[in-house]
Amino acid sequence: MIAFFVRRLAQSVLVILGVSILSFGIMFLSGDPTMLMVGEDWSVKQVEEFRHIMGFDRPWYVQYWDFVTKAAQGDFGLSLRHKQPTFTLVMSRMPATLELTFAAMLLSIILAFPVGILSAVKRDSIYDGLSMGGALLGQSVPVFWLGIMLILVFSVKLQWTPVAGRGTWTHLILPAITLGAFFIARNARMVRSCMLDVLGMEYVTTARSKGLREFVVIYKHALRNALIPVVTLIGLQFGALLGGAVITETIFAWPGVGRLVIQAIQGKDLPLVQAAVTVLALSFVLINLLVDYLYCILDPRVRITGYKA
Amino acid sequence: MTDNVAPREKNNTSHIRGGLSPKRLLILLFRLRPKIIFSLLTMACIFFFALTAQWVSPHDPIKVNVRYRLQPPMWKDPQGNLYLLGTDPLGRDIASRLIYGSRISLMVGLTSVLIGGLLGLALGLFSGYYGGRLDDIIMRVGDIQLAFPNILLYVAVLAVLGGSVLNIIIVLGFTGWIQYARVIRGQVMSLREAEFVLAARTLGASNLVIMTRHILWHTVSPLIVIASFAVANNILIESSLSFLGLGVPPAIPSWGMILAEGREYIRQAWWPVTFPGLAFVVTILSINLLGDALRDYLDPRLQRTPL
Repeated sequence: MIAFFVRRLAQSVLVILGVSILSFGIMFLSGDPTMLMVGEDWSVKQVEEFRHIMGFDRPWYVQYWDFVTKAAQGDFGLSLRHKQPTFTLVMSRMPATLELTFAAMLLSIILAFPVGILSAVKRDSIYDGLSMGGALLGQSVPVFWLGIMLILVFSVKLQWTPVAGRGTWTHLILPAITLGAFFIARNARMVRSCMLDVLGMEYVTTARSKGLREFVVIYKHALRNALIPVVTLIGLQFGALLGGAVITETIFAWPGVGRLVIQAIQGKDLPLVQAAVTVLALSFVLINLLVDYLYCILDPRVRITGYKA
Repeated sequence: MTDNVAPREKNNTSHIRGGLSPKRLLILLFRLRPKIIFSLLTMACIFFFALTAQWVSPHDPIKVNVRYRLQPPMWKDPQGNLYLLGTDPLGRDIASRLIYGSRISLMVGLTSVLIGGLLGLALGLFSGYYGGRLDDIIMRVGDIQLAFPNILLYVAVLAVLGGSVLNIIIVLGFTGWIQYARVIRGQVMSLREAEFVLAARTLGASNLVIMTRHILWHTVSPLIVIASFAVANNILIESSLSFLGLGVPPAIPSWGMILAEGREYIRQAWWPVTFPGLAFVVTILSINLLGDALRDYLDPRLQRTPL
């Protein structure tokens, strides 16, 4: 198990290195990052001065090394617009994003499990047809449209919930549903198919034939085994949730990192974009690592056969 | 999933079946009738609208007429011209804009998948066939890319490159390869030592010939399944990016853009935000249904690829 932990950690270090190259490289995609940040009315002299202040006149490997060593200490430079350290800005928005993503994830778990289990147990019933039809629909609705429709119905027409912003728990309802909907749908389908796989196993038949009540068979024998792939998938969804948060936060004016990124792009504040993207990607790598460790602890089989992607 | 026409086959050991011949396609069509027919009909409609936009759209999609702004669906102007789905905040006909918008969606969805699919196919073939160092490098690069939350990558790249149809296609195309490459690599690795490959090698076929003539066609089924879901996914991403103001420039009508423009006026008018969304749901649903059906038929075990 320790060997697995170490190998997986080494893999993550490699990935973090890759993330640093990507985050650094994105700035240079257009050829010259200076021109992306300066105003159109700047003189050549001003542009050159700015280039020098930002350090873009140095060789790229010096810049990269500078970026990595500073980033390791939590220093991503100053935001052009806010004149504050970008890392502080990103971290100050982090709690809002985490609140939203966890709420969405919680929602997707709470709703997906009963729906999926019931669908599997009552396979091919009307209930199964309706809930899986609904799940397919849920996977086909664009996040931003769902958010707007929810605002239209619940905030504008019925006036039950606030239109936007963060504050009381009522502010959280619509963004969490919006962000979570796709995952509710996908998890419900996943739970259903995993349960169906497990329900066909021989040990379930054994449990039934020794006279156990159906409830015990499903919850003690089947569900536990069906959980393993579902747990991994849910863990890996975190990255997609972080990405989806960019859109959801924009719709609901939720003061999180995602909205900060969009605002930074609109304000041509590339150091801030870079910092936010890097921090989000790093937290995603970290969470994936933790999920894999958890998986290894949950499922003894992984320890023997090794990690399979 | 209300129909039971296509029961999933259990205990199917050879879970990847051969290629798609016309006969197989026909069988497929009849076995999965309701879903397939719904999705094929819908897609035929969308393609029809996209290809004939300049003839079938009732009005000019970019002609601004502020006097006619935010008119409700079924509204008629003084000359008696019908605006079926109403007008947007600048007085443009929403129905016409939706029809033109389908072009952007389809173009981005199909071309980006084509680029990603071909790239993934090539890299997956080489990676699986040759293995070793090359395989390691390709797969590690893929891991790193997957470690980046997708939307963030697109947002960051487009923030630097600027939003345009071409840039979106390039970004989606060149980041999509990994999902194909992974699956194809796995297929190729299992086929590399198959008897028909050994036979071909014994007969003196070169590596390139073995890869393209003998192995390639066995990877077509999973490729088609992944690609069909990817088209839906990429259409969604394009519209999300356009919605965020990072995608297609405002002058070009795209579904995400129509939604974003209507959003400002949500208190006054429900139609500019409702109809583009419905267009999305129908399009994405029909592509997903087709993908589901294809997967059930071609490869019951292949899991839906994560977003």
